[in-house]
Amino acid sequence: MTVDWIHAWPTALAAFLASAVEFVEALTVVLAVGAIRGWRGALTGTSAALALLLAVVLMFGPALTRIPLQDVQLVVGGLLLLFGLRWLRKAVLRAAGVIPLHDETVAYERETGSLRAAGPSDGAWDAVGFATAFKITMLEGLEVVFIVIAVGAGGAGLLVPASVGAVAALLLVAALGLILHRPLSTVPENALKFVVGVLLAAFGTFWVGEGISLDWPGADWSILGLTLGFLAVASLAVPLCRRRAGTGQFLALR
Amino acid sequence: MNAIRAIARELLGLVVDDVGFAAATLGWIAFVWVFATMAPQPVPWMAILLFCGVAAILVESVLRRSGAAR
Repeated sequence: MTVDWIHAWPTALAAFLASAVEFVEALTVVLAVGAIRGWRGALTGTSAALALLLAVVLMFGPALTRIPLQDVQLVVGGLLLLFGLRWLRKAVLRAAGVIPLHDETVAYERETGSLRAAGPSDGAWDAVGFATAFKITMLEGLEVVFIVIAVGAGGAGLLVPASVGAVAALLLVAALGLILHRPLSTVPENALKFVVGVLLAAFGTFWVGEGISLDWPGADWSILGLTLGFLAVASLAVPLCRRRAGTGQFLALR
Repeated sequence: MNAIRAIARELLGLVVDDVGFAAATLGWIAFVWVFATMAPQPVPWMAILLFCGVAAILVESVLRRSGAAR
């Protein structure tokens, strides 16, 4: 399988950053489950969800290669554009102080509170811990699968760098979780979402253009132009939103 | 049935936060697509038009949301 290296690095980077954000959110809940309900339920729930997600990727990933590339680019590009713009919109609003930032420490405290309130398990098997870890890993993992398929489906061989990016993010977040044993609240989550939103919106726009046979100036290099374009537009939108919402000079890119 | 509905809602939630924003984006893609098929040959400014429209929809949406938060 040949890998198109012009797309490969940005693809791997986009998948890595986007997956890292999702894994950080999942880690918060898994840590809460481990601390309150025990590590057996937390780890079996997480492992079961990861195994199911892997099966989904193995089932749908190869099937995508049998669909004509232009159709995949249009459909997946459209979904990727909607997904990226959704992240970028939220990141701009958070950076402008219009909506509150996502705080992993608050999320951890909320989760530990509700896990304590669920009461002790009846036997050796903690269904609450297993179900909570399974559910969060499935939810965040499905987003990762979507990201990997979406950024990897636009060209021949791009699923490989996209998967490598996601697996690297999983390993990094899992290692940090093992070492630190607390939520990764110092990760600049909104700045990451801002960058990922820009990258995914740029990829999505490019794939949609390819899907409807548009002629991109500079061919593949226009992905770089689109990235810079979305970055400029989103960066300019932050102060405009701040002024419109009357949130003053509050800077919240973190 | 409820589980299927919940999964469908989660999957839809991946790409749609604000229905108007998502509809405007898809509408713009459809508009550029129709416009491109009518053109006798591909021209680079249509790709730029696609980006400009999407960027404008993003800015309008965040400004509208910011105005509502006031």
